[in-house]
Amino acid sequence: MENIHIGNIRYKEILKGGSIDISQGEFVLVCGKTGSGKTTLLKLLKEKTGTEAGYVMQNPDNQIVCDKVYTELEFAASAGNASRDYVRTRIAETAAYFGISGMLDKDVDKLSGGEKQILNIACAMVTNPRILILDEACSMLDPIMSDRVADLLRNINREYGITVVMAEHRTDRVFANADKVIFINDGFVHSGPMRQMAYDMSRNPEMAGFLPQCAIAVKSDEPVLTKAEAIRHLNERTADICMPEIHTADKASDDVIIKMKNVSFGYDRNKGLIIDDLNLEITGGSIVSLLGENGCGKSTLALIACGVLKPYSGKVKIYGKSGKIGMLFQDVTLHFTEDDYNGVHPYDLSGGEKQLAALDMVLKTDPEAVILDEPTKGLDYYEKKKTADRLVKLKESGHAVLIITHDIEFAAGISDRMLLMSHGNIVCDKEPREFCADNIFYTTTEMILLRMTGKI
Amino acid sequence: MRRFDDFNPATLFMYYMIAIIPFMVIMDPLLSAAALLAGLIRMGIHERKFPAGRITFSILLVLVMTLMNALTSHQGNTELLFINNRAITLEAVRYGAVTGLMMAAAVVWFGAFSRSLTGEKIMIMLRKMPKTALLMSMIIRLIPRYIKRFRKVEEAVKVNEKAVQTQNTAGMLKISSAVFTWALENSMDTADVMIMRGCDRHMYTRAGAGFKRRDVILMSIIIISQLMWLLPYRYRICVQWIYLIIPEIYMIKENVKWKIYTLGTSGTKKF
Repeated sequence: MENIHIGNIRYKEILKGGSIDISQGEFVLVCGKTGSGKTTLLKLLKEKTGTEAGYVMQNPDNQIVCDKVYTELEFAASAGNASRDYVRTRIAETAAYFGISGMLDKDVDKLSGGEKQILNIACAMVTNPRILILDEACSMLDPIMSDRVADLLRNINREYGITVVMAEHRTDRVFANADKVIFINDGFVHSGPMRQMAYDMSRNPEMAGFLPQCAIAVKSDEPVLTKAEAIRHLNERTADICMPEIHTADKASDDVIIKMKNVSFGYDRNKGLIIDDLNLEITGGSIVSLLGENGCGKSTLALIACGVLKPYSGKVKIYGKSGKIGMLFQDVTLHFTEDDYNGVHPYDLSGGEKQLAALDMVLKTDPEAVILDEPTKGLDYYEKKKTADRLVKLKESGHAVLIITHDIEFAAGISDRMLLMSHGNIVCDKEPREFCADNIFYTTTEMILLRMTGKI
Repeated sequence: MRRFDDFNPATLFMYYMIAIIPFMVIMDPLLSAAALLAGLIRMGIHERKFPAGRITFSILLVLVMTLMNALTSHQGNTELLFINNRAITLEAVRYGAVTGLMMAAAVVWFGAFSRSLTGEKIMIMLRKMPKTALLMSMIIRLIPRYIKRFRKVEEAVKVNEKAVQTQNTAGMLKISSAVFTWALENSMDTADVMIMRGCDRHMYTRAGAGFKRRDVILMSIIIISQLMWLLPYRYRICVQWIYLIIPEIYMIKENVKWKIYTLGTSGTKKF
């Protein structure tokens, strides 16, 4: 396949100009705010390349057609009236490469989100494409899984020379590996080699948020993209760490809103307790964030706190005027029972607006405390900032806020307390600064850099 | 070691149909008892324990059917006793017991049927009709997905609404409409993906399980065994009983083969 060149990109009111130039075998990253036309650009690219492209979208669930993993691969592989032997061989080698041979007989609904997305990429690859286009494919996965998918994509690109074009908000893992970066600002498409674009982006406050966390944490003349670079710059004193402002409470109020005492819970008699003798108090006017690996009982804890699940033993009490608690679920579309939100259908809003709309719907019932499950999933830097501002406002009005999240940078920025959960109990309960300074893995980029340069 | 369930789905389907239909149609006490016994043995082997629960259930079913038939049907020559001026006859009792036996056997056998022929295997049987197969495969996935979604929305509404209004019709309608909107939104993505995978351009190729030598052998056995309908009643029941325990016989044969195989290769195992 020759190089792809699209000059003078114009599409309706969305894309207003600029050009892109992609050669075979390049890893291309596409950045831009939500609604800036990333998807439009990728769709144009897909039309240009026709059947030589594999395309993966954001929501892993919607892209699966059949009920079994094998059936799904079979459906994808049989494009173009393929023979039975061809289909069988393609499935065998694809499953072996992606490491999904073990789950070929499984129901797709038994897979985790990340496994589903890997299956979708496998289905796109089974048709033997030259170019793989991913539209925010990692944004609905947790950070660990999304890093795994990013590594997988890098391997496909490096080992097999397949062009990968991906749009992504969390660029930590992919930015430094990209050959080319495209960013869309105000409808204009800018593209160029990675270093040059990083420099341009760091000059533009509208775009700097899409650089890796290192570039945001370290202030220097040229953008710093990896930890190694950052440490080198810091040791040579050509750069400075800019600590983020932390919104800690001026005066934490003393009245407890959520109180959980000796709470235990288990789903299955034979599998033991998921939550074991847990004590937690959250005062009004504070934001508490709860971290921990998948399956350690974070979401279960939230469901117990808001009364959906009944604790096996122990007590849960909500104090305050109304004694009510609201919960924002991970999938915000669960809250969209009305067809109208300020004159717009909630499904037509962008990712960050959806989040805030759902939060509004939860707050309509005037709860004393709000629990948010993964409020920053799939949001870009600027939308995260907006969400953070909203949560701080909520805190200042005296609400108790509990955030369940994997996003440590976000949590460290706005929390009053950070909790680490493991084996059904809270093992660590500290202020953000202390929490990040003490931990090795559950910590922010700034703290890692401070530790590695010997400043703490 | 091979299992009975590893036969070609078409063969399995044929075997089960010929096993189940006769005892359900003919209502023969001996045949039903034989089927029940064979089914219970199969279940015991499958679960690797004595199927006490299933036996209790079968006995209860027989008793209930007997009682019901005796109390509702009053035809027959041999009166045993009178209740409310109505005769309880021996024939009615017997007929009820046979019906109960037949039903208990049917329950056990359909359980075994669905364990052997999973949805996926039925799909493979349908591969000559690729569009139907695709449609079925999608429906099998979508229905549980919608039910799950419904529950989740209900949960979200229950947590966050002021008054709990999920039980009445209006609340249900509201949740249903939310689920419906969600389904429509998502179906756009799914449609995109299907077109991308060339659903409009090609037929869907499904690989079959392949008809192997052992399938041919089992198929021949099944067909030859149908000669039993020419035999007198006593011999026919014997043949039918043997037919019903073919899976167990196959399992014993495979076990013996495996044992001999491991005995023969035990010398090489040390390396």
